[in-house]
Amino acid sequence: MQFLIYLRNLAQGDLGISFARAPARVQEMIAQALPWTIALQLPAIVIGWVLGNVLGALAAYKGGWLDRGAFSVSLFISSIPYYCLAILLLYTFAVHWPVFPPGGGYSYAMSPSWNWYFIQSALYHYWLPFLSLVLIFIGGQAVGMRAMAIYELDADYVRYSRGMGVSDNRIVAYIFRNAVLPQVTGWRLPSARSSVVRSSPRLSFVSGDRHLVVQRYPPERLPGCAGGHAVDHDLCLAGKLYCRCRLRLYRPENPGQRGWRTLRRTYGRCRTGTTALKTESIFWTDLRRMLAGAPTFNRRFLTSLGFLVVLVGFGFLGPLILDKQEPMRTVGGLFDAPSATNWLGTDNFGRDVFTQLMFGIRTSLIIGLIAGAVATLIGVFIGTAAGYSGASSKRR
Amino acid sequence: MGLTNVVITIPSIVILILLSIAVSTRSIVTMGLIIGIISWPWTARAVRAQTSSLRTREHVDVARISGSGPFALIVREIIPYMLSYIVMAFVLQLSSGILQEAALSMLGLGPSRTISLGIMLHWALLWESVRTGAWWAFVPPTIFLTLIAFSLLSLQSSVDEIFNPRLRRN
Repeated sequence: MQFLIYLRNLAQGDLGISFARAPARVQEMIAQALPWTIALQLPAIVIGWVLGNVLGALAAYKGGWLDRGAFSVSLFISSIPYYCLAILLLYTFAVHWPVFPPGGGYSYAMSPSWNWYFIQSALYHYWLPFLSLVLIFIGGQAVGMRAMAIYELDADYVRYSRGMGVSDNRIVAYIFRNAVLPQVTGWRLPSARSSVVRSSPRLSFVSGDRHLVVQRYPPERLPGCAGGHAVDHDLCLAGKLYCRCRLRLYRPENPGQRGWRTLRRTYGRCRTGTTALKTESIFWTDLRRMLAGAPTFNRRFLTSLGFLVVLVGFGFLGPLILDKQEPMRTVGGLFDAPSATNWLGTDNFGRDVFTQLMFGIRTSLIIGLIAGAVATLIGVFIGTAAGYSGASSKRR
Repeated sequence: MGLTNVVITIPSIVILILLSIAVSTRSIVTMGLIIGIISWPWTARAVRAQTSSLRTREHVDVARISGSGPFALIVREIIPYMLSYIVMAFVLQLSSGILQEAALSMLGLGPSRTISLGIMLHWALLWESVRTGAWWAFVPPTIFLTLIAFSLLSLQSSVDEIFNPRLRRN
């Protein structure tokens, strides 16, 4: 019921009153924070986007060690959860080597104004969030761009240019222009991403509207929280809508689905023989082909599988083998340093971090498995039902 | 499909936060269920796109003409053809589920009376271990979260290369 009232107010543009800063209305707080967010995120996104896409196109075209190296590194970077990256950067560059300030948008001694000292201070405080955003963006964009650019390598214009002796840089530029489209549509403010990091006020990154959102414990700030997210989300949506319109302009035949990219990526290949009647599923053919072994794939596949097996073994068998079965037992003081008995020291309750780590991995894996299974089951059920009965007859 | 589009536009973390407050004791299974129920739409959309292209294939037509019902048709003629895709989607959902759990737990909304990587981070951050330099409290969980996510992603992309010859480099 309360939620309905909230929705009604939301429809009228009223986001309610913040719990945390009681008299302030949420929309005013957001209005204050919004330009800040955009001004801070935009440069990082633009730079990250450009660098990432150029890197992806180059890697795809050049191949070889550049491709392998760039691809694994960007995959690794893009798989670091944003909060983990932020924590690590923060610790490395603000605490261990205090090169950058640990938090705030500008020096506490100043108030926002347009003089040189303030700008200097703001820039200085901007470096760390800027770096983390750029890094994450480069990683993600490079991975996506590489996949798209590989498709372009077979295109006639690439072969023709190669045959005509056009310089490599030029060809990369051509490929870039042709493959960049889906990357443009994926372009939006990285919304909820950088939020959680700021959960500790002392170690907060530069504020956006996120700063209003989750500071320590969200429940008491729900109006602000939801409001901030709503605005943020609207921004994303507006961006997406814009991109989709552009996309429509460029590609009239485009079905206008986000699935398009994934579709092309996964099923874009021409499967010869599927049009004929086949009793055997492609999956098994593929599986057999895979087991017969294409060497490039096998290595990476086996490496990552090996990694996973080690992680799973560490989480599920580790406690048994190493006989560390009581993660909740207090064995030391507050943050004891690593020692012979406590290999990774103790946490804030004096519990052994190493034991906790094994049980933590186990819990995380179980939750992930359940979540993945549930999501896939529901998704496949609804997706097939909708795709089978739905609008596709119109489209074909 | 309208429902899917609506669910997609809802920022999932807000729902996760609301649900986590609504459910007072959260077991591991409840957490998994909540996250799974929130994150199905992406799979649904992709699967729908696949299905609507697959259903125009001839073998589906043949099966339809020979009189199999829609359910049997989907299970026997459509799903096997996108099984590789579903496996990949599952791996991605698995990794994003782990990361979402960690993000939630970091906010203090994780499963109760147990330990997860996110909960370790939560306590480490709450007790200011980053500022005091107690790296052993927060570096191991962050590294292992990254490793899990990385190995799952790289597994997915290598599987992608296997099933999609065009992506394969020689």
